[in-house]
Amino acid sequence: MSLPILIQAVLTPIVLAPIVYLAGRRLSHHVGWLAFAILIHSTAMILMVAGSEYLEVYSWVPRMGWDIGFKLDGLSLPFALNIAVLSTVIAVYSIPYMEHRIGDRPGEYGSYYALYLLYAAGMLGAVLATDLVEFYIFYELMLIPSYLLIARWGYGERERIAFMYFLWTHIGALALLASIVAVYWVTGATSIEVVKTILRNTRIPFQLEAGMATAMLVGFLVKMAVLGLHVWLPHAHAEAPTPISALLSPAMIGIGGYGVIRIALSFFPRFFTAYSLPIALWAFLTMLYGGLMALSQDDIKRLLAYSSISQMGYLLFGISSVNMLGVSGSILHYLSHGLGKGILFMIAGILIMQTELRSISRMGGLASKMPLTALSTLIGFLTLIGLPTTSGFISEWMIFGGVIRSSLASGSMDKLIVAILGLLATMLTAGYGLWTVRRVFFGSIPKHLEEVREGSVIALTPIIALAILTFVIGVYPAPILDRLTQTVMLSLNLG
Amino acid sequence: MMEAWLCWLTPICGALLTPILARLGHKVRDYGAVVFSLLAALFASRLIPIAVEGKIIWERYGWMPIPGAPVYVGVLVDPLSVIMANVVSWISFLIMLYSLEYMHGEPGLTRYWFLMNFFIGNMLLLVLSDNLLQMFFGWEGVGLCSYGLIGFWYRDDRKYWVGTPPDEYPPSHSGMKAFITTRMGDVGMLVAMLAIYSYSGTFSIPELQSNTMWASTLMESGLLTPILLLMLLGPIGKSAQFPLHEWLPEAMAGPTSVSALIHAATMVKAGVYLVARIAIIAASLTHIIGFESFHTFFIVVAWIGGFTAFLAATQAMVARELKKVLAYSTISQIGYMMLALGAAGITANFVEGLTAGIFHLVSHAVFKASLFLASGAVLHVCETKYMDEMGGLRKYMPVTFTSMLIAALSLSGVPPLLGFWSKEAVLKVCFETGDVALFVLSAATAAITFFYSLRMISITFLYPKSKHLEELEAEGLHIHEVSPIMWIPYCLLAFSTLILGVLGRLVEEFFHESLSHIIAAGHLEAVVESHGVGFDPSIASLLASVSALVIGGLPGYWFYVARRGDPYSIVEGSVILKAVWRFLWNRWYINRLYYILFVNIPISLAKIMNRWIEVGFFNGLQYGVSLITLRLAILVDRFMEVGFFNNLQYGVAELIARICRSSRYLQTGSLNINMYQVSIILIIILLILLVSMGVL
Amino acid sequence: MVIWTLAFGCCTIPIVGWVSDRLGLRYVREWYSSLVIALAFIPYILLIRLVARVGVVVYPIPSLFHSILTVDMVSVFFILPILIVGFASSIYSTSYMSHDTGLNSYYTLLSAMILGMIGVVSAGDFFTFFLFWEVMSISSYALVAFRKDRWEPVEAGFKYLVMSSAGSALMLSGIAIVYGIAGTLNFAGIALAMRTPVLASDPWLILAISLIIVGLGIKAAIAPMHTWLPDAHPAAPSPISSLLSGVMIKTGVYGLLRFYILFQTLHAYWSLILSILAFLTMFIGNLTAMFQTDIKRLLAYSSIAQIGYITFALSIGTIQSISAALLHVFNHAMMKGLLFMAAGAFYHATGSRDISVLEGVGRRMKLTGVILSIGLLAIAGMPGLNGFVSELLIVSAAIQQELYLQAALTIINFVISVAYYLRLLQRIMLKEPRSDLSRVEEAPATMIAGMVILASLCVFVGVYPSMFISISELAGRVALDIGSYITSILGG
Repeated sequence: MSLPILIQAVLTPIVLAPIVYLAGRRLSHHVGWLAFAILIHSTAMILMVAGSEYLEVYSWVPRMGWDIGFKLDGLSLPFALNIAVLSTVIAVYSIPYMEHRIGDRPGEYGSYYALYLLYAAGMLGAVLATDLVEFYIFYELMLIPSYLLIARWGYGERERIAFMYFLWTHIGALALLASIVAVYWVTGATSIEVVKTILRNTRIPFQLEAGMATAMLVGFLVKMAVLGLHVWLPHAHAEAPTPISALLSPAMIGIGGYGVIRIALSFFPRFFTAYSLPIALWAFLTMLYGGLMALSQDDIKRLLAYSSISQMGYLLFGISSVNMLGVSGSILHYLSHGLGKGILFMIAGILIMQTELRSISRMGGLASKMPLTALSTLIGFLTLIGLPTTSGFISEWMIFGGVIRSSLASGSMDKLIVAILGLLATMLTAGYGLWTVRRVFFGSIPKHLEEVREGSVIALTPIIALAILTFVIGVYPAPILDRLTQTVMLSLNLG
Repeated sequence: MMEAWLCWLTPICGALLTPILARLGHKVRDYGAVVFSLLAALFASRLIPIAVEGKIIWERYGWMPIPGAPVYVGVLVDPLSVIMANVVSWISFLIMLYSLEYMHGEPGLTRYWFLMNFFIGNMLLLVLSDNLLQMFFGWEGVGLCSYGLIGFWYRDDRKYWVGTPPDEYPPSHSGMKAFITTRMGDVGMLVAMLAIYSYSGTFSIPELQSNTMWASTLMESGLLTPILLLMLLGPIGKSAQFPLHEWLPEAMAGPTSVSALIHAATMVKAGVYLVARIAIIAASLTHIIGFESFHTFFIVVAWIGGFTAFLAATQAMVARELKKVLAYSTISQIGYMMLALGAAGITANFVEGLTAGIFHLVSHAVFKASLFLASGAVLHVCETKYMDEMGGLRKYMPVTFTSMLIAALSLSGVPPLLGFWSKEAVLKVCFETGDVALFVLSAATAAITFFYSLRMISITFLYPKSKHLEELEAEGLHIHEVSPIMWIPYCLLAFSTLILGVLGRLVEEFFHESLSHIIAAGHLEAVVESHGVGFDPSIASLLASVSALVIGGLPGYWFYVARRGDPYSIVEGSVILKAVWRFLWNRWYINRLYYILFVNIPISLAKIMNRWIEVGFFNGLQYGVSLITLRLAILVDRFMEVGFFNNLQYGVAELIARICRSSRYLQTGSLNINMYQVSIILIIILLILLVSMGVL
Repeated sequence: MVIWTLAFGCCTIPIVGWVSDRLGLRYVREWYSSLVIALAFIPYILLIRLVARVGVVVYPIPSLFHSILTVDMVSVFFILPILIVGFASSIYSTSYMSHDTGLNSYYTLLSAMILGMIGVVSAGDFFTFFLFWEVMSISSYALVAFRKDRWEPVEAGFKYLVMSSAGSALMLSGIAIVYGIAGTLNFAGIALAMRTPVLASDPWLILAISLIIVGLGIKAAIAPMHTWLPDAHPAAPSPISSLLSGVMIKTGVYGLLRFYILFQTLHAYWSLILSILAFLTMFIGNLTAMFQTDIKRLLAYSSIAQIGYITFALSIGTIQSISAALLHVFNHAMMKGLLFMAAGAFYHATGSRDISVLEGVGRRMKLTGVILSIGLLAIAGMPGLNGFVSELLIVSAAIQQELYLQAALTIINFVISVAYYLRLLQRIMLKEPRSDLSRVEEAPATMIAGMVILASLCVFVGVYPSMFISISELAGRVALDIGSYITSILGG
């Protein structure tokens, strides 16, 4: 038993959420700083043990063999780090934003931040979990607060959309649950490590394996919103309150990818190897489709939402390679997409705050009014485009390198073609990204925007923090890559 | 090898410091930026001894620890990279100096200096890096700066638009176009890099030269040529070669100093540099897998180069804007460089081809930078981008005129200027390939080049003063020579093209000597095979250059310098000529085709998909499913609960009531029907049990 | 002994109430009855320890046809929710019922009902079972129709009375037949007798079983015998609804379980019937609940659906499934008790049960709203709350028996149910409150206290299910181990 560090990181926000709620009545929007402090604590806890592999296990339901464990290794580190950092900085960002959204109803700040903390803790718990049941619990725990956050402070038909979001992801989660139950009865264990060992050492019929893997995959892919399972995403992301969009898209949906890698891929490598090509194709179609849809949007948040679908395609693409390079690339891409999309959603929020507009066609020429915002937007999109020196490039070359390597290794020309097509689809990202920058920030200023001013310092600081981070990782990825690739190789037995 | 590292790090640091320097004052920022670029140039010149001695220095440190195939960060200092680094850094320095005056008083100068220095750093990183991945960093970095600088006047004021209506584009659009078009090539390059990495486990250029396994494996699987061709897409995009050349004319929307630096002297040469690197790798591998394996690749390179040279030159003949003439000419001249490198591979005479290519690269960098800077000065003074709105400037701007004339003659390959020697070298290696069509094409291009150079110079400087200028003067504007800080850089460059031209042969010797070290280091026993057709290549190329000058020069002189005929009325008069003119004016319709294919179609496709698939199908599906579920629930509610059970209740009640009304034994009301229900289920259960137990 | 405590309560509550009324002391009666129920926990804990030591505890009831009470792990497991919900609703009633008259009889009936339920689950023979069954039923009729000044409770109570007593009558005839076949009323004796193949294949037994299933099914509100429930549960005062929905219908489940075990040789047929009924119940419950406009009626239909899950788990008949069913009984008692109390709190505050009137009321009554949310999320099967644990166990028990189709159908039902729970949550908690709700105030402390007890248990079981899973598994094991049951009661 190690020191109780990670459990602090996860449980402190949960335990303190009611206190934040109560404090909200007295502190009004300043309670955001309290949430920020709590999340700083969680981040610090994670950073404290980020140096090496760290595992804590607590007995929970010994009778069923369920444990509560928290594990920080090379694989969960990028995820945990991304979630912790994003939720921390977005807590700060929420302060001005929610002031704008809630206005003078001081009672609501408490509930917002309490739910926010629960949401962050749910995501953090999911990526640190070592037990399938525990994972599932956290996986669902992030759903409820986010549902409430959307339904309460979203835009448009927020209630219907929140409902739809909930149902879709819940149905996905149930498919996952069915698969977990099946795995439990096949192996008699729920600990991820134990199940993995058992599944590796027993030959179960491929049919059964394929069934379980498919159910699991569908469960995760709904969260990732790949093509066909994506219907909920554009609505939810577009209509959620912007700080929540900035967590939904960069942090949450990628957890589906984490699930695929940590659980599905390590349990059923045979399945993934066998169906590598269809998965790659599906991923490619998702990239293409998301990109094309983004191209045709006028609402800036919707555009970003479709872009997320496209980016999740990259994640799946990397996974479909089933080798060290591609899978590590996917994980890193989660991080870089998180940073890039985090920036962009926060920018969208600033635009909404400063201009009261969401329609791109009604904006223009804002670069002279809001230079920092324009610069950050560019950085955000460049990260998505995968320009070198941003973290996006490191992850993208690894993803495509992985796919190309696997296609060359298997001698599959089809896959090589898909890989090339996939890279061509990145052109779409460049297309909609730069086009958006141009439409929003360049050109001449329309009359109704002449009074617009730069966003507030509190709102911009988190964005700049993320922008710096994307360059740091883009230029010197070794600290993360070092441990990531090792873990991926060892834990997945991948070459 | 500290200098090599510092050489590319200094400008990047300078760039990052720009916003801080800007706080200290405008002067500090502007001069600081220039100093940083000077430092880079000084560091680069410290490397020259290495090139002279023909040494190769290779240093690297760990970067991305990928198990089994780590990626390093390093520098590779060899004659090629030293030559490139010096050209880049010195020309950059001169242009930075020029910018001090040229950009004076523009808003957003912090951004300008940042991007310029960042560009220089990335360009030097590109040429000095020892591995493909790191090179790609620089590669994309310069692309980004180019994007930022083309769109420098992002507010899209009317005066900064490029082109003639209706083909007119705002700067921000042009920047995006450049970025996306070059990116298309980069995709192919990335695929190729990654494929090579998959086979060899390394990105490092020296390792790719020494480790031959990857090439033989690739060759056996028949992938070598496809992958090299994919790789070629990167240079094609970056160096604006056909079919990805359409971004460069629009890149002229940026400030002229930017056009000079990025779109003439340095960035667009990156593609040439990379092809040269591939050629060197190929050279060191030929003794293992034979130079025939690379044959197709080099033929493609040569033909793309040759064709692009011709294509762009023809367009330059009809251009109306001064900078566009230069832009087309740049595309065309880079085509020459590609042609030389391709020829190097075809003949397997790598040293000679490489020398020709790099020699022309250097000479082009010098004269084209000079031309652009001078044209910037002209534009600055005349406040118009159209040549036909200038005219008569010889009187007002004699220094600029002289400098531009020398540079333009160098561009046309008039002896004894530098351009003559380099073009002749290119034509020579081209002749050695034995491909007559290619040779004729390149000679024709040389002729056209002279023609449009003459046209440009005379319309701008020798024609009578245009109405536009008279209007300007009437407004009280004094047309005068620009300040020395502006003309010194381009005069210096024009002067060096003259001096180096006089020493032409020696310069060529020097390039030949130092570049041969690289190939020698790759253990090449030069496989010289003469493809000549019984003709000495030197004489052939000399003949070709001279006759091209005559063929191109005579009509140019006739129409524009001597003005014996009016080219406009001749074109107007002839149907064929007019069709040709329109064809050229519309850029062979390639640009228009691309807009339809890559802009209009995807966007409409996206819109259609959004309407039919996303909204129509997926949302419809979801609505459908939820609708069906809801309907089902309502149906169950209506038919099962209300309809069936209640109707059962009421219906049966009614029935029974009707039957038994007279007897009045039963009360009406639902309760008793509930009881019937109970009895029915009792009977059903009983039946099920009986049946399943086999009693019945 | 738990029963004696409650019986004592039944006898003394009217006296205490009368005395305090006379003396003009308020709330003495209320606190007294809560105290009595609370006191019952003491013998209950002693009882657990005893059961844990000896397995089955037998109490003969003197001079009544050799009646005995037998308490084993299963009974103990059933008593727990009865006591907890009973206690919570008793506290809750303190404020909820404070404006009513006839409270002496209300509290007396309340403890009688609890007494009856505990008796039912600890009966050792059919006679005792039936006796307590009637105690429970009669007191609950009276409680449903307690607010007799309005028509709805009276009608519902009447309907309930008729149907339920018909059920009792059917069950009685079934019991009579069994008595005729086995010659004894004692459970253990019957079980022993059923081991003889001749007796077990007696055609009359089939009739008896059908009668018993229907009799119990009415109480448990298994479709299509559920028709009384949607009327009775909404009409009853909310604390009573909690008890009815939370625990009383579970006595029917208990009966099904107990008799299922007794008639060992008929397992297969019994399972068949139960599983058919289970799915009918689930679907009717869930689909009908979807469109209810009355919050309590919605909850009532949801109870029907939950009974469907439990019945399904029973029909599987393995240790895992039985223990899952038991755990779900407990969890559902907590959740549904909680939900009815929360709904009652809204009703108490606004005077309406119409969801469209109640929209946004959760934002005026924050605490109640949060508690309602916990209940709704728990019953919707959100991980981290108790409903998830037992639903997971039910599905996994089904999958273990390779009943994939059934498992899938159950999961579909979970999904459907999430829809209306969530819609309810959304409407109550998230909508802007109507203007006429502006003066609504938070529920009184005692009502909150009652709800908090249940809510905290929901969370506790969800977060730390270990203990409950162990106990329910033990109970499931005991339930199926009919051999030792017979041995410990009849000896040797």
